[in-house]
Amino acid sequence: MLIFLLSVADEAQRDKVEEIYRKYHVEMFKVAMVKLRGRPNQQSEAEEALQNAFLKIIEYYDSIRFEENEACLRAYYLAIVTNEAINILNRQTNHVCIEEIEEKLPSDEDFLEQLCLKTEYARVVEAITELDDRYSIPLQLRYVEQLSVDEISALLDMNVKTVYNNISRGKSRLLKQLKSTGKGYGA
Amino acid sequence: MNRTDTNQALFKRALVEARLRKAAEASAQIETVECSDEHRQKMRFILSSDRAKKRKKRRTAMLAAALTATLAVAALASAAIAKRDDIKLALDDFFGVTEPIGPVDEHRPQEIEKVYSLSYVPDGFEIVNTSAELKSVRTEWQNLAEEYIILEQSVEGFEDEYGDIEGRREQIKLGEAELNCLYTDTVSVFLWRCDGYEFKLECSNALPFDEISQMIIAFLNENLNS
Repeated sequence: MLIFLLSVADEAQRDKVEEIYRKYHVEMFKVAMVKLRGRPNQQSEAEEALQNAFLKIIEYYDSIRFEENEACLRAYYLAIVTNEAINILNRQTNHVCIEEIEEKLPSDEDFLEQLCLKTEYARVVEAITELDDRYSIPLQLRYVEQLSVDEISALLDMNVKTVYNNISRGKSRLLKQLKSTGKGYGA
Repeated sequence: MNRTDTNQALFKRALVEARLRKAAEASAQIETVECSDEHRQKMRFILSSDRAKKRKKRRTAMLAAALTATLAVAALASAAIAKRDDIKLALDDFFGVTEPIGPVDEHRPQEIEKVYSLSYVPDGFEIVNTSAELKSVRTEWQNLAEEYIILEQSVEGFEDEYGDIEGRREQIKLGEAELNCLYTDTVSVFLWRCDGYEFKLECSNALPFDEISQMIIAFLNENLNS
């Protein structure tokens, strides 16, 4: 049980964040542990990812869409902690993001049309599950949380161009994956 | 609902389901691990914010190299004097070298041998002042609203400066670090020891507590875990 040290002005917010921690921290921690698997300081780094995730949740509390269903909120918190684990991985390997030339993609409407109407839903879920988190997290924040690119950039500590590119690449890879692995409806 | 809305709703559902599926796979792979006491204390610190506000942030670069250079110049300037033990003893007497407060670390430097800085400061803050002497280093950041952050590193303690000041005091243990905290009407002051040095972080009260806690936690994560 967490003990509070200071009197709290925004008690409702603090109570809400504590509730989020109580309900989801075990799962969030396990996700971070898996992401940081094989590293010598796996547990302390996973804890750091969890701490950083909650700092983000507090900082961007106003942008959380609490009116969404629980599954969406849970997915949001898991995306945040996954991203923080990725940041730790990148920090320690001096990861350099190489900006590729942005592929020309169909419009959003055409992308969704190709993805959803011409493909079985279950295959879409599978393809997204297999997609690298670098691409699936910005896609999730864009389409589920409906955050702007600037908001995603701030939340993920990523520059705006990288966010744009990763969203584009995510869409492109999803479409390629689905075209290459098989059948659509009725096949 | 038109077709685009339907597609969007399906895609949104698929994104959520994929994220939850990944988490379920992760949960299946890892047995429940008890988080460390250090983590629990840090989470307590994070969640005890009473002024959580949304702020944009960016990381600022450490200026340890610049401070080290300044320190090197100061060290060179005083080296001629310090070489002579009799003069050094006289200087120590004059400045009243005190015993360090608290338990004596195995390695307790007598002069600044390594410069520490904050790896994270809130967006909008820029360094406005640095000073380096043999026994202490001080860096000050300020933003356009004239809110400030001061980090001081010293081989001696700071308790004497704050003994008589009125304010609320408390002690927080974060892993290996013990923070002595003082909150007055205008400033918040945090004192801790790390790697044989004494540190003081002084911040304007206008700074949100979650930003202050993030600065300290980032500092401790970087320096206590390395």
